[in-house]
Amino acid sequence: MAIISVSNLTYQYAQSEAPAVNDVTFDVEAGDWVAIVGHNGSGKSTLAKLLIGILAADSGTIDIAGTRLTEASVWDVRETIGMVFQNPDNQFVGATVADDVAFGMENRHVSRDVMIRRVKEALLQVGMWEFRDREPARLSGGQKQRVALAGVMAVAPKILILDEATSMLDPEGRSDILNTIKTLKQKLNLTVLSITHDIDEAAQADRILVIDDGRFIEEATPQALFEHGSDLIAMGLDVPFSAKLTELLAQRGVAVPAHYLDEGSLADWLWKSRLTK
Amino acid sequence: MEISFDKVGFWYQPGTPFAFQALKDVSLTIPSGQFTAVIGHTGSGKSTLIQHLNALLKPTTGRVLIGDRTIDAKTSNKHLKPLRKTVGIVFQFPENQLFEETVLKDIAFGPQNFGVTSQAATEMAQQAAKQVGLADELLTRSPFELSGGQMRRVAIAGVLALRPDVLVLDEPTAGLDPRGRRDVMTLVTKLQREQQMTIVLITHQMDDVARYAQNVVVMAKGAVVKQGTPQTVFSDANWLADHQLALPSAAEFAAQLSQHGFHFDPLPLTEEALVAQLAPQLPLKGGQHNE
Amino acid sequence: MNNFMFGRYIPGNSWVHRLDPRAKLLLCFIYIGVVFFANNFWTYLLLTVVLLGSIILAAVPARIFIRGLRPLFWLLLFTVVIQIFFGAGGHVYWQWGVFSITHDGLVSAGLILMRFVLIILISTLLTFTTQPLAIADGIESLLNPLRKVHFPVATLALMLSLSLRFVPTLMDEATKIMNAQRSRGVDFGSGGLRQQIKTIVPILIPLFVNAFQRAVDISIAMEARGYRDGENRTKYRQLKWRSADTISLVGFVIMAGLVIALRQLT
Repeated sequence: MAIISVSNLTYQYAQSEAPAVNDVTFDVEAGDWVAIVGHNGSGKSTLAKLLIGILAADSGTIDIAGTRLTEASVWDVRETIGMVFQNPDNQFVGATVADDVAFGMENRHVSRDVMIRRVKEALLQVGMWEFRDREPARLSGGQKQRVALAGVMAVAPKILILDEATSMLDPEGRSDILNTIKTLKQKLNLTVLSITHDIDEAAQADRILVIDDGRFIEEATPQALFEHGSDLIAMGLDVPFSAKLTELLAQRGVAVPAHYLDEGSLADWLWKSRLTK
Repeated sequence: MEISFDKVGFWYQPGTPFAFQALKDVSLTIPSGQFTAVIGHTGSGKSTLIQHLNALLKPTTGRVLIGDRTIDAKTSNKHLKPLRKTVGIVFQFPENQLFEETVLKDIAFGPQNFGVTSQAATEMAQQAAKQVGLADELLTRSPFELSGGQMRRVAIAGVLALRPDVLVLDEPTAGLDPRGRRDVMTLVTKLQREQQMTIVLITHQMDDVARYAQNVVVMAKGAVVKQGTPQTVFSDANWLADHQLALPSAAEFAAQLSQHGFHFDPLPLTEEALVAQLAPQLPLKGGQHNE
Repeated sequence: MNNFMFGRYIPGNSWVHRLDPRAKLLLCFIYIGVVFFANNFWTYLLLTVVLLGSIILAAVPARIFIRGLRPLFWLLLFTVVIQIFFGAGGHVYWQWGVFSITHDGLVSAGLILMRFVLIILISTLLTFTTQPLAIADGIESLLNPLRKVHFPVATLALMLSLSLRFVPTLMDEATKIMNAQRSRGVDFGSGGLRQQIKTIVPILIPLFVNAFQRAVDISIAMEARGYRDGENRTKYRQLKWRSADTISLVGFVIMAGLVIALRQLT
């Protein structure tokens, strides 16, 4: 059964003319990684807020791990979801790294002995244990996001939602966080829903949902979606390097693969192609 | 206008327990009319460096030459204002500095501070708004109603309205979506090519450095560790790896292909350069042979 | 702004640094209370000796304390001048209209100055050696008895620790906005008062707008992490009362007794 099941979800902000999320329906199976992409203002972040009950939908339903999201069940639903937001500074609530990791557990009445153990485990998992006494002002954006991940891991959610979690980081911090998420997902069998316009993050997904003007306009595997080449820009994604290169080579009349290949496969393909010359 | 640093050192909070040296013996030249990229990790001193470009900070030791002005530790804080007009700085997330009731007024704020009449300031603002591609109907709106990408362009227009000779941009594409990033970079290159503006770009995007920059300054731990053309800076893969700096995607891919028996000389830094060298090494479509 | 030392924490591991924040808060309260009982040379001497002893135990260089006093210099001078000119009684040395310099005026000015300096220095010692967060923890713990009357102690403490957490962030932001506006030709600290007030607007508005946006983001993040109300939460941070804390507390109580005894000497 799907761990996230959304049907006919609609939400409109009070002052706006059109719904930010418009009749959206989708399922996410347990253990899957699903990316939601779309350019800025397409309704991606509104969707995230609806999923954790920060906003209440005008119509439609959300079921998380078999529980229908209602006003009464919102706190139970939040227990199963961990969320990492865009701005590293605005989700760091604790005065130090360790305090921040403990914050979610304090809210869940976890006893102090258990907290001490889990803070350590979580910080070791994200490689931030040696920074446990640091204040946020002395951490980089990427480090803060890793602490946010540790805070999520400490409360052992089933679902991890990333709301543009890497968009304010430098390339190094970005790949760092992405690798940490990959490891954690595998180890803890997490379901990941990532809202993003980062091509590398989207490439990690099993499926990509493209949202525009509050509606899903396409659902595809990364492979299939990246076939779109330069049209991806309109969907809020960059064109993958290998797709750009293939396009430029084709313009010169060079033989190119019929379908999208990632960088490693393209290098292999070109190597074999060269042998036929 | 040329800017050069002569053995510049800078300390934050000297003489306190929090004293910290952010720049060490920095000497560099930013040539007039060219596109200079400054790269380096977070905390390498890039942000401190750019605050010296219009004398927001004065060097603790050494001196900075901005056009015909010399700035050192003893320079008085008075009469620095003209420098702010010749060297415009677009800081990180510049949309955080917007404050006026309307977009147009916010863009006109800079010129007005330099004693331009309000009519002239409005004209300068309108022109700057056009340069960054803001639609006319947005000019009367509150800047806080705009989207993130639009706010970014308003903030850049607010600096362009000063008509600076040198434009400094600190990660101007951070946090934008791909379309927004492309728009900003197109604007910056246009300013350099069409108006011969001197551009200083701080960035983490090596692909942008390879594509647009004529000079590259690499900073690490408060010091300049390398300067030169993108070709020289990116030529030494081992050196870059030691400094944990990435290669541009095209160079990275070329290096990968080299291991498969392809040959590149010089190392291509952009997709176009890569394809130019790669195409002759590959068979043509439909089994034709390439000459 | 960065050179402002008053109220800052200076990392260290001295005897004073290691005291429990509750103990340090209590010591500070006792000391400040006792300062108002001091009335003669011997009582001030005792208080000064205790203060200097504490400063030495804190291992914070004296020049930093002096820097800490500097921003308060004008306030001190103003108070002293008022006391000198308006304090009356005893031998009159000089008079002009309502202004006079009298023996009693000089004495009370001296005492006020002394009290001010002692109070400022002991508070500075507290902030130099105690992390703001630890002070917040200490306050929460000392206010704990108020829970019985349903006073939201934990919520208050969380608010305090959150605001402390964001002080550096907001300071940083203020500096960035100031730099951005200076680059757009704003001249801080020049021109008349009206000009000065005008330069504040381009700083304050962005600062408020950003702080408000931040507050919205933070509250969403807190809710998403399961924060419902401040009172029913377990606590990760715990304070540890050690024998050194008891010893110093007893020491300060003895000092208080001595000061009250020495009052009789006049």
